[in-house]
Amino acid sequence: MMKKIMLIALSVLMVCILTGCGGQKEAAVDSTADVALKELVARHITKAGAMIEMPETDLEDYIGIEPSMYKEAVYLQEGTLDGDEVLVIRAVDSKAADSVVSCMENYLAQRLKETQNYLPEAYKVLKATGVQRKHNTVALIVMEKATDVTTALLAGE
Amino acid sequence: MKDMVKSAYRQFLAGVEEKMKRLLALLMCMFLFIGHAGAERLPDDQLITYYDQAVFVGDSISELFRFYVNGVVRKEHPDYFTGVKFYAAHGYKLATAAAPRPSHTETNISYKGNAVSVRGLMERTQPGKVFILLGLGDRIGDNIEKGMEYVEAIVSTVAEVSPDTKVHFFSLTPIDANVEKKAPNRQSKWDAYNVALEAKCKELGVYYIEIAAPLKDEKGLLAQSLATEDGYHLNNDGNAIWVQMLLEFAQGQYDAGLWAPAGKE
Repeated sequence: MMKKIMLIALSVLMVCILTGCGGQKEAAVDSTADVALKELVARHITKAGAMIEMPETDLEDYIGIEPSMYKEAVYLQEGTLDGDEVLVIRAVDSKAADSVVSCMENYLAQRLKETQNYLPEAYKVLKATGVQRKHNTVALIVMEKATDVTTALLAGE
Repeated sequence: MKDMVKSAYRQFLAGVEEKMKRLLALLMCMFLFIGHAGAERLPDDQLITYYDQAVFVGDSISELFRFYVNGVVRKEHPDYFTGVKFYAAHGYKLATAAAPRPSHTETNISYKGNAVSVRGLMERTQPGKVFILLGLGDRIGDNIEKGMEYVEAIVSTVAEVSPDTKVHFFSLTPIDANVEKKAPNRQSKWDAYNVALEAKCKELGVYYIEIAAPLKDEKGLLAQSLATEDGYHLNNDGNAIWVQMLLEFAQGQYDAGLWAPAGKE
């Protein structure tokens, strides 16, 4: 009888370990909520330090992302006609994040229109990227393998 | 008696002579002062304030200038080009800028994420000054007459919706030898366009800023040391010359008594 009980207990324990009871899987990705956005971008995009930090006013003037929509913003340009771009916003709330997504999608559409006839290589890179969001953090990264970079950057958000 | 009169007369003449001398000296000082004020070379950090809060409208050439201002100029001089906005897009055309509404087919500039025409931009921004560099995307050298119609339309539009805005047109920037090889005589067409543009600006009472000449080599083409690989656009050295020309233009405005930086009005 005791042996049966022990066997059952061991089986339950093994099932728990195998299925990761207690949220161990979620704890594998460290939260980046307390990491400054600039620092977060620098961790995932090695060339960020060499890119041009565009004025925050450009976010509203050209893209329509108003200061009231976000807590933090990073806007970088490589500075060439077909250069990489990094646009990451931590919105103040979910509704603001919706607006930021919309603005970024408009911006991407504009860039696609600009480059389609003039810069075919840049057009290809733009076509392969897209706006991604995790909770209230929204990102548009234009570079080779942008989707992978963006996914990794947003993982802890 | 005669001697007394003569002496009094001599004294009178001496007095007049003295007064004339003083008057002459005073006039000379005045002329020197006025002349000196006009010839005074202002420091760059004062000249650059001519462009504060201005709006630049253009195509990819202006887009690269925007990157140059943010990436190079403002790193060394954070207060240069204060409040300046660059509304530029790759392939933006003079024809599109002259149209009353944004185009459904061509590239537009964006204001706060929305496509706008120059009319719409001026209505919303009401800048003190607007600077326009457009025409390459249209190959406007092939149809100078049409180009002048577009320039007139833009000037007229700005006068209507933002009457206090001072309009400035830049000359088209040159192309390099490689582009000229593929498209012979293009530079001579650009040159002819610039001559027409300058005359048109004078006729319309707006400003023309020559930036092409200092960018050219001995063959009259964009110097390769100032060009990007494609031969159309300016690299950082070329953009540095553009900034120099802006400073020279501001100095010219000051010399002509048309503008003065704060503290020198």
